[in-house]
Amino acid sequence: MIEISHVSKWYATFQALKDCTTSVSRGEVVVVCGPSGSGKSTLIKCVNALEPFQSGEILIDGIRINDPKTDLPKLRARVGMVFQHFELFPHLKIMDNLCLAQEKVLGRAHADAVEKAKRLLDRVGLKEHAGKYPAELSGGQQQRVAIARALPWTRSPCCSTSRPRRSIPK
Amino acid sequence: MFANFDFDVIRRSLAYLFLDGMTFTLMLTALAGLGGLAFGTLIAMMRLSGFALLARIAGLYVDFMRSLPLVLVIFWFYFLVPYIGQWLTGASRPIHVGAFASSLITFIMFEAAYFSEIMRAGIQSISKGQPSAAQALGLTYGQTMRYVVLPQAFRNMLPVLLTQTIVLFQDTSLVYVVSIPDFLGAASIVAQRDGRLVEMYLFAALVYFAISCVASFGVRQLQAKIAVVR
Repeated sequence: MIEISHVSKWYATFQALKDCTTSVSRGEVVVVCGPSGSGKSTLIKCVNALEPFQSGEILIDGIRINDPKTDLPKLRARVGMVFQHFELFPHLKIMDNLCLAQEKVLGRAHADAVEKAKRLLDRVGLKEHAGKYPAELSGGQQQRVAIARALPWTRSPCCSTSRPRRSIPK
Repeated sequence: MFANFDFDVIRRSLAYLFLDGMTFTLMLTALAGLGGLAFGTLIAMMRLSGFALLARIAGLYVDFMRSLPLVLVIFWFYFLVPYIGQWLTGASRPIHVGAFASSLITFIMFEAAYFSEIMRAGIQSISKGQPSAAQALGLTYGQTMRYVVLPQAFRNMLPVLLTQTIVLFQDTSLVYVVSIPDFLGAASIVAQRDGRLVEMYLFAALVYFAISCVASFGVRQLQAKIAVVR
């Protein structure tokens, strides 16, 4: 469960988030709408502790993310995230993009990570592209890889995306 | 036109030119390149560290080295290093360093200033989204740098690093000012001994030109290969 309480964030004198409060339960789907620059991506980054915020608090399954004692890499491993510009790692093949965090963060054996990655790629219809680099895929395919990369966290309490399906053909 | 020239002097001195001179030049280039890269990485990390004092010191070092002519630094270190050694070891008189060690230290310190700027630009060329994505996956700062940022940064800067190494290869010829027989120095010795200045300097120029051209071609090929992967 994600609980966001009275979160405010400023970039210098510009206030990007103003007293945001909401909660998201397991299995619930929430869509955050708003015009450009209204702070949608900033809010999602705050949930993943990628952007510091000045007041309020965010809890992921009861763990306060802006607590200095919180192990952020461990917490982030529980929160899948797809970036607006996907941010696939261009120097790694698709398979390696999906295996890197599984091996380095979850400590999975390479064979297990590859097996899991194959299943995920199959799920997003890109199994045959495992040996390609991100630049060799279309925008829509890259976004599906980014979604697959955010999915290995089977016990994730949440998976946040910025502009989902922006590049996936309808 | 070449009737009065004796190009056989080149054939007679090939062994000396390449086994002694070119070996020294390539060794100095390789060691100075590796040392400069290591020291340059350290300077680049200092500049990007976020600690104002460290960044300032590193910035001053880079500006200082880049504003001096290399030949002056070679001279300077050649005469200064023995005294620095004396100061560091507490010896009663200047320690003997040797021309090779002195020139190696000079090139490492000089090239580090240039390499550090290439490294800094390479690291800064990576979009901020990349480390964010890595951290969002749960990678630590160290893992993010090792598996995501540095491989991409190194890939971006590799052609420039290699081009700088080609410049270093040419710059090593300046050690002739402290009488070290590198390739050009060896050619110069033969030229003056046999009175064949034009032939030897022409040959030396051709060798530098050929090696630099082949290396530059290799860098361009590498650049094209990297561009495909991007």
